[in-house]
Amino acid sequence: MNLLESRGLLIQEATELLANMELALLEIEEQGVNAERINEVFRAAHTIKGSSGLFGLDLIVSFTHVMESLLVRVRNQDIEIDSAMISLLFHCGDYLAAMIEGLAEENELQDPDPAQRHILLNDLKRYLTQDESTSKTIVRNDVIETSRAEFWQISMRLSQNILREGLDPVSFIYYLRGMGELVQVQLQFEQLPLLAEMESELCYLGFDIVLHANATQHEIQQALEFISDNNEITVKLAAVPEIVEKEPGNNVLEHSRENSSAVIASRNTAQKIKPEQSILKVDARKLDQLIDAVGELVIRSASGRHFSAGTNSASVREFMEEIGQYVEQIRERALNLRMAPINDVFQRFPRVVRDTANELHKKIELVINGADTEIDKSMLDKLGDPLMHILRNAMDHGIESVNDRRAAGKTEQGLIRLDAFHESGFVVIDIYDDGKGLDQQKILAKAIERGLVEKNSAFSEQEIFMLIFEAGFSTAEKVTDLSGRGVGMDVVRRNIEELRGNIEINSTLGEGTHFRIRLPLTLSIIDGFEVAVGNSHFVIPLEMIVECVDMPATSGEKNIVNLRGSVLPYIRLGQEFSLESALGKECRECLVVLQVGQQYAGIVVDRLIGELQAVIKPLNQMLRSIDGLAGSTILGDGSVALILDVAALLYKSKKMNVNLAA
Amino acid sequence: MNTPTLLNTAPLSFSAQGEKVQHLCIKGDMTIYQAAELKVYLLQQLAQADALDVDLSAVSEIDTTGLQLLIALKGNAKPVHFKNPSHSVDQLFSLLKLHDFFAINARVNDGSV
Repeated sequence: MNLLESRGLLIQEATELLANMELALLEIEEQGVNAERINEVFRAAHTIKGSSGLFGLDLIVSFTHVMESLLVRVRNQDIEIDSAMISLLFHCGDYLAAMIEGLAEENELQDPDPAQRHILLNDLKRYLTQDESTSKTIVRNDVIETSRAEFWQISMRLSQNILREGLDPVSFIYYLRGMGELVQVQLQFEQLPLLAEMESELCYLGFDIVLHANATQHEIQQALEFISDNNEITVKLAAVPEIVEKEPGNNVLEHSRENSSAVIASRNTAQKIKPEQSILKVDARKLDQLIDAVGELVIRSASGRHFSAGTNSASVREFMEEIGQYVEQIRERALNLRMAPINDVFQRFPRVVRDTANELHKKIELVINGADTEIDKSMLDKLGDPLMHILRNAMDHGIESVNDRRAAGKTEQGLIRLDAFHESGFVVIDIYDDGKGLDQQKILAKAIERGLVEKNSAFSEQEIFMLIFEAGFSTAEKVTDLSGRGVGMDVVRRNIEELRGNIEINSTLGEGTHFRIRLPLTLSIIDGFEVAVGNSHFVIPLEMIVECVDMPATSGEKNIVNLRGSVLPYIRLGQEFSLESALGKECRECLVVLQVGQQYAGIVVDRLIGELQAVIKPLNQMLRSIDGLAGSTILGDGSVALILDVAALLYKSKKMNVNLAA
Repeated sequence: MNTPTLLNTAPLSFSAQGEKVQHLCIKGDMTIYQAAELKVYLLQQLAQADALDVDLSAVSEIDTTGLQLLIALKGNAKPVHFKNPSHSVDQLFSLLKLHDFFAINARVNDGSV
């Protein structure tokens, strides 16, 4: 492995670690501190420091070193983590991410933001120095869970004059409690005389204490240094009290316990490494090349079958059929290689929601379901922006302010739900919010004002909602930093359509909004259905097809057909692309019934040809401007067929109808 | 620095056993500065009654000497009952786990000072 490659690994590893750290911080913020989460944060800083050191990336090393020092103290419970520190660590993570990003782009590491670095380091150091002076006196009641903590037996036999010297033993016990947990405190007052005989300024008490703390003998002795003169103070490892279930330990036993815990620790890391080793990291480009080759193989296999169908040899046909099956398996597995959990996109949202909610002074909870749903990696990258935009819109315009919510009788905390799941060859992403919902009247009024639609035209609820995806549309009364500039929602739709997906909106005024995005599982190869108009061949994605029927002869002029009692709008493919039908008058056309989201529509074609696997090739420059085409593919006989973008096609024709109606 | 004052919060009362019970309330600090004086007061009160009922709600500060007095008071021949620990007394009892020893309940709401 050369240096460049391992640098790539460093960048990837650091990015993952930072993402984990962010997640852990969010969890700490929401659910409170536990050792594992702190460890996760610590591990990120520690590992990044370590691997950066190998490359001599001093800027990263020196920064993470300070972070690490602080986190060690937090882990040992010397310093308590608070919300300010969490925010600080978030910012440190951002700064590190910026550095790592810079590293990915250039060979030399440069400080992306020296001013920010200065501020962050100062803040980090403030915590560290603060600790020296104050944190030891923090009174802590919680039980220490760190495995390294020990039980210490502290015996204090005090000289009678200690009080007169101005020292109060009780204050030292308070101090000890700051170091850990006082498991046992026993007061020794055999020396105490009767009240009448007592010299009230002399000390008659002794203390036997068991302290459970993550501290060394030396540290404890140091803490008691002031009273060590003339007083008998002993500090030793305690026989573990019965209330805590651990084997008793003297020095020797302690040692073996240390060892055994080390063994456990290394076993844990071994377990952790194992699944990592079974994952092979492959350059994404190599994978793309493989998929391309598989695509060609699929096409050739289709050609082979096409030719073999023309021969009389049954064995050749059988043979080709068999090859076809294996090719299909290869295709499926190759595509599976590209699948990645959608969590790769979702994982950055909790942080975004947290920050945005703070910025907007709203209370918002984000719930994510189905983060392990898999989707083509190349789509993941393009999914981030549109999803982020919808999310921001929901936070900005959907979820109301705390006061408005209270007034509306809702819970103060708004809810945004992000669900992902598979449904018949598609990945569905739902984004719900329980905000104020979309106001149809307002949208319509705005659309008319902007000249997007004609006055007095009739719209369904769906159609009105879809208007927010028109370019230059924004209902927000106030432009904010986040959204509301009227750019965005149209970009969202375009992004989704570029992924051959579609988007739907449902909304109830006052109750919330629901966006549903449907995306194909993959971009490169689809199961298609081949149809023809005249001499032109088209491919329709198979998942969208509900059924194929003969075109009823009684259809009227209005592009609506009565299909078993229900109304089905349809378009003529020939008309859309100005093609001559090759059918004679006496031949029936075919109607392909499609489902796009919740809508049904028909496409009228001349002939149905059959199922095929289509390897999607991009359209050339000339065809790209035509709405309703998603790409092209090569058929078994070597000719070209166009793949229909059904959603865009129906959308286009519907818009034309709207214009006609007006 | 507050001088301790012992307040008889109620006149003598009699327990079911016919004991003379003296109710008192210790007010102010119970530190080394007041310890000698406080000891004399407590002895006086003890001499006058068969039992003591000591209200600790007005103790503003307590140190080892104050604690010793309380322990010695409890250990004397006559029964002494303690009640209503102030915040600082409660803190000390929590630290040294003395609530049981003094047969006294920890303060439930510990937010006050």
